[in-house]
Amino acid sequence: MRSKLLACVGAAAVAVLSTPFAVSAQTAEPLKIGVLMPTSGVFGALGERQLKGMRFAIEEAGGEVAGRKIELKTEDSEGNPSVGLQKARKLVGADKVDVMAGVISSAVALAVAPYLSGQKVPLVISNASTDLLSGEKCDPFVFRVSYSSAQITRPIGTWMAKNVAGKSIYILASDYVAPHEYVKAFKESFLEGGGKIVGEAFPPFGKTQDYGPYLSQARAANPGAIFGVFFGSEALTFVKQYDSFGMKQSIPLYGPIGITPPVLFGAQGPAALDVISSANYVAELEHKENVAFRTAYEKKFGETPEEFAVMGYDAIRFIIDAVKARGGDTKDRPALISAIEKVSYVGPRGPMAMGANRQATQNVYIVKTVKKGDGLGFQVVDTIANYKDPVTGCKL
Amino acid sequence: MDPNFLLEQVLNSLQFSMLLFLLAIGLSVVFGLMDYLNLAHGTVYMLAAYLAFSVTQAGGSFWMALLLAPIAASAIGLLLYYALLKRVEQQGHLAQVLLTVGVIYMGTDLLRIVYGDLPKGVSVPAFLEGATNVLGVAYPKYRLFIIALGLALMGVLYVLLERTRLGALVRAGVDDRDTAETLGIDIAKVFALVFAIGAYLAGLGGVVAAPVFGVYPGMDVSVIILVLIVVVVGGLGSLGGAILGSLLIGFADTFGKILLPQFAMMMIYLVMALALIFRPSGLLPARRFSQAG
Repeated sequence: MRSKLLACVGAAAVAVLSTPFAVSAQTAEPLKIGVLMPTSGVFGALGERQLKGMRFAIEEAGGEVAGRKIELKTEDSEGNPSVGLQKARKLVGADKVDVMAGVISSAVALAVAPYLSGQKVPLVISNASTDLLSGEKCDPFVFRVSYSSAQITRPIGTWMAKNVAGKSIYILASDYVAPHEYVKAFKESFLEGGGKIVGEAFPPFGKTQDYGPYLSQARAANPGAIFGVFFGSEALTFVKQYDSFGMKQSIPLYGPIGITPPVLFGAQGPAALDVISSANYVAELEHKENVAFRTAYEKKFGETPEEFAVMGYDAIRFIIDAVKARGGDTKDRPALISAIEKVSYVGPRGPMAMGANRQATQNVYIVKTVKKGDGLGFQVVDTIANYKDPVTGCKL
Repeated sequence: MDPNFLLEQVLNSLQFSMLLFLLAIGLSVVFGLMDYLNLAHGTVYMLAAYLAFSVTQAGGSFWMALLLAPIAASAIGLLLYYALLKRVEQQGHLAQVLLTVGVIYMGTDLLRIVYGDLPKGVSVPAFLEGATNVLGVAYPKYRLFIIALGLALMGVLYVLLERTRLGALVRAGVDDRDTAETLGIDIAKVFALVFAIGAYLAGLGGVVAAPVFGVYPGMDVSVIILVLIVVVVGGLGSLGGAILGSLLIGFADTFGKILLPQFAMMMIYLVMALALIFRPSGLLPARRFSQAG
């Protein structure tokens, strides 16, 4: 009896000692999360949406974690690597942030990652998608809750190889780094699935107004489908021009969700109908976690959440959950990053977990643009559950 | 090359040429008449596209947008000229370029503040939606409309410039401004009118382009460079030059994309380089500029 009691006391003592001792000392100290996000310029609108998702996550946690108030310190990276690095130095050096989140542009992410790693400040990326970040350039301190280019495009390659008439396609993609990376990953899985590529063209980025010549050429090659990779205003122009050529019935259009994102529904209108794309989130997901999220988000912001807001939300949620698991301690950085690695939950996107190469494992959805009320919406046609990042080459 | 495919690409070229022409003619004649290099011409194009979006958004039809937006854009363009651009009229091209590039930046940011960063779309009237059969090729109806509109405007401008008194005044001003003024022609008035018509045509270009190219901040810069090339190739100050330049660049752009996809942009610059080597004043410039060259 006596020995049992002693064992209990001993166990309790161990438990107390192993819970980070810093907790009581830090109760008053806020958790500072540095956010690097373009809030002006071309990517400004994306940054704003991610910030909404981030603020939502903090509010959902009641504004604090393990007794520490959560503060966001936001800096505008202007989507420029050298500005981004300078702002990261400021956040770490002057603002003394505990962790970092955000980053839209892959170039900015590649510029700040080595610096943050050197400073032992964990970074949770919420958008930048280059495969390098979870491949050759992976880093113990750099996590990503959004997707790698390969993670979002390989599934639709496999899917199209199974579902496109004649398994033959034509590729049209904007001529810059990200679409090339998408196309490379897409081709691998599409060809592995037995698909055939009858032609491809890369219209100059930012200089192409008229896609007509490319569309005529694609049509002449007589493919079963077109795989298109365009973003922002180029996605608008491309999809509308594709539609005007009247080939939707004979040559359907596929792409990453960026080709018909919900924010362009109003501008693209019926032209976006029936386009099939791959996504890691659409508001129409009906599992209970997303229904709750969507309802609360709509109530707070008066608009439907979309993927960028959700990826911002998840970046902060990973940080909050990890800090909670550490009982509020953020001083022990190796312990903090292994806590981030262990975070898992079912969120708006479905089940989330961190992969060994620090890219989140998540569901990938194949979705189709359909009529919804007066406007457009998505219908999930297939789900690739718990899809691990296919990127290789990461040595930690 | 398959004849159907060729026909389709010729139509693509013509459609693009017509849009370039709408922008080039105003820039070319204003440059020719007043020696003013107005890069903010593209801003008028963008402004009209946004106004067209507003009109359709407010429940107006595409036709109402086509009627109203260019007039409004032209009025704003003229106001801008009197309030600002006129100040550097005598200070040479460098000052004009600096000022009008500044106007481009300000215009883009102002439109961004009002309309936001997200691209906007303008719908075409129902009967111009989709494709129709042209000699066995399914071709978008709206693109055929652009070609028809462009050809019609070329005709109207030809009559206006070559067959009316106003046209004679403009041509006189372009060819020899001093003599024209000595003869009692109020060149300043003629110029204001030409500026307004040029801005109107740029606005018309913006509205017509909106459903095809989309409406977004920076849509002016992506097109103004091509338009400058059109003016350089075609020659300054003449209708014929603007027409020929637009067609050459429209065709070079389209066929460059098909024949040399890796060097899609090169074809245009090749045409410009050849023009500069063999016809430095352009192919069909107004008389004054052909002598200068």
